[in-house]
Amino acid sequence: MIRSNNSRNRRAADLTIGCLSTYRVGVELRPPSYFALAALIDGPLHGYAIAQGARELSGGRVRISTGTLYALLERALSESLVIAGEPYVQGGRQRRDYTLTPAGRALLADEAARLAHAARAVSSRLRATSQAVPS
Amino acid sequence: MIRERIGHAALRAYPPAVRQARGLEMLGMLLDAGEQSNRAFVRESGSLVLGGLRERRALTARTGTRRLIADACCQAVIIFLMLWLFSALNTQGSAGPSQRLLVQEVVLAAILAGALVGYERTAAVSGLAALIVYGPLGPHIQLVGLARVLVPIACLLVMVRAPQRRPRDPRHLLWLLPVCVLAALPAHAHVGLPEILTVMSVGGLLRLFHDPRLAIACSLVWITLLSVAAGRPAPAGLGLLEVVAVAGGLMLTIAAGRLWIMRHRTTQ
Repeated sequence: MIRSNNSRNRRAADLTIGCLSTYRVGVELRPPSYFALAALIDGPLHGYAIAQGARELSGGRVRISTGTLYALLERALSESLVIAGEPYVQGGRQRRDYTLTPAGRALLADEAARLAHAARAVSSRLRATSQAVPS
Repeated sequence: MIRERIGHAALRAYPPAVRQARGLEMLGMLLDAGEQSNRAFVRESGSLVLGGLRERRALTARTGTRRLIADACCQAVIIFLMLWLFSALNTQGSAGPSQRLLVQEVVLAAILAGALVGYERTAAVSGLAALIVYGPLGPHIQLVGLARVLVPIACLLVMVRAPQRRPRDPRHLLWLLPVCVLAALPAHAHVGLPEILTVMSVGGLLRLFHDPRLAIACSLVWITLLSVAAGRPAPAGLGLLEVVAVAGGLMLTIAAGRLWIMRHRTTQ
């Protein structure tokens, strides 16, 4: 289903609050959740850095707002996909670093494989039909 | 500094527990994200408010339908008591001082204060007793009179059986203030029970996104007003009857719909 980025963000916020099954293995991760978790692959990050990392990874397509990010992190914490560190102050602002757990990495790997498979399937189909149909 | 204040205000949309656990951290991110421009700050603040309301909605939905309806009945009792006290104070203002009314006001104020602070079971039992002593449940009760207080009695019984689970807080006594202020208004101000209930209903509708309890409570009170207005002779009662019927029915429908949506989302 094709949706705009805004509608995706809204839906993701709904799902990360309303459905416990959002992060279960085999279930599709919404783009904000996927990119936010992916931002943590290289190491622990605080909230704003996660949002920036998600934006970079998605090529600017996914923008996670403060409200959405913390709803998403709350859900990821309850599903043990990330763990929260102790709060600290940096530049006069309180921060807390979040770290991806092995369960979080496994879920991301599954989702990446699923997306890659879906992309391959569609790409090969497109290639096949573009060769068959003269331009 | 102003942005920090706005941020703190936006954070109030979150339940206190979340605010305490992550409030400062969220505020830090809001200030970071809003540094680029005023527009970005406004957008981020809006998202924070929405996030907070969603969090509250999730919290309400986890409470369970039965508990939500019981809470709504308890809130309806508090509104009934407020309106009854307002009505008694108003009568005293227009009819002049009376020993019986004064005692009734003191009793009602004490029951309402108890219910507001959190002694709900005691307040509910006392409320039932007050209905017998001062209300239409006296020794010469008629069927019509009983029908008019069926909803309040049902709500009081629910309050006895399942009072709200909230910590006792004397600060809630401040709710007595608007009742006294409204009752002190001059007669030509035309502030009556429907007007007060309308204001409360607007509050209930505004909270409907994350909590349907106040809207359900107001609907129950509208239904009672409807039964009272229906007993009045036409044409004086007719206009009020229509307004009350539409308002009560509409609110109950919206509140019940919202409750159903919230329940449906949690069971998905």
